[in-house]
Amino acid sequence: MTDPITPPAAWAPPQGALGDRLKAWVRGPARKYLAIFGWLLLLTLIEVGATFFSMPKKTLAAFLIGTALVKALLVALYFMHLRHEVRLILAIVVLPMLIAVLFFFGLFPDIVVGPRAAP
Amino acid sequence: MSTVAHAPAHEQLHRTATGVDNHKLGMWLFLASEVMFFTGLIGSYVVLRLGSKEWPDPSSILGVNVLALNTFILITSSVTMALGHQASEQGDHRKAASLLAVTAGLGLTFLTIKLLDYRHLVHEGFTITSSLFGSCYYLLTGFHGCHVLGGVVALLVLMARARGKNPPKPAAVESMGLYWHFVDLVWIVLFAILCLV
Repeated sequence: MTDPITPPAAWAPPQGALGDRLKAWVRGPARKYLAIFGWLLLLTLIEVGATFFSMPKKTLAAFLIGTALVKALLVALYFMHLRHEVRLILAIVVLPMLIAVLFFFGLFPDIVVGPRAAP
Repeated sequence: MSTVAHAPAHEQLHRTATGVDNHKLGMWLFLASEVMFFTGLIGSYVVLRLGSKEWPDPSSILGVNVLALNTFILITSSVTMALGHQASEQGDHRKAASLLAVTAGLGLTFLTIKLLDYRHLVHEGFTITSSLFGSCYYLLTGFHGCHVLGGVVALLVLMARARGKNPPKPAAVESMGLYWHFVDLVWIVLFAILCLV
């Protein structure tokens, strides 16, 4: 399975001043990973910033969980290369998640109708 | 899983019946069990939280800025890990070893900050027995911390091998990377649902 993120093996670090080499490296093999890093950083800052705004608790919770899921998806798709994985690997990842979510929602009736625990 | 029987000897290491490298397949199967483990823990936390009449505001107890710094450290370590794998695939084992060392260093920094955070919280009276939230916080972050520690040890072993005469195959570095990114992914979720919401 080839990894489209990984640049071709023919890529070689350019010669020259350290600044030029660093610039070439950032524009070359590291570009994709640094872009994802930037997005993850931005989303984390947005998450932390959102807690300082006064908004309804449920809206804030939904926003924070949504942002966290987007971040988790970015890590899984790009750093873990799930975006380009074969079906077998996708099945190995998705099936336990589906089962776990099913079990999780199976507990929901306990929350809705069960006795409330002490804090 | 067996390798393809009639493949030439030098290809048998890479060709498998599933088309997926054995290291990688093994790691994904392990991660599948880890998904179940952490979903069980997080699911219990959500059920306990939603089932409680009152729940404290996490930001009033936890140092959100410190935990955000830890998030930044772990995200950065994921980038260095990915770049380490890339260097290993390009055959630059020296660079790969350096990037693995940086990743391990960032992991250790994460753990140090976490321990200092625990110390501060215990000093403030927030312990594992002080409330339901305390139990959930220490249990979830504690198990995650154990995973980070395990990852740091494995990274150091891999780094030592990368510096030696018999460097690890890129597939081994990739498997390590998968584990490390998973640990990062779990923290991203924990940070949001445990520390911010």
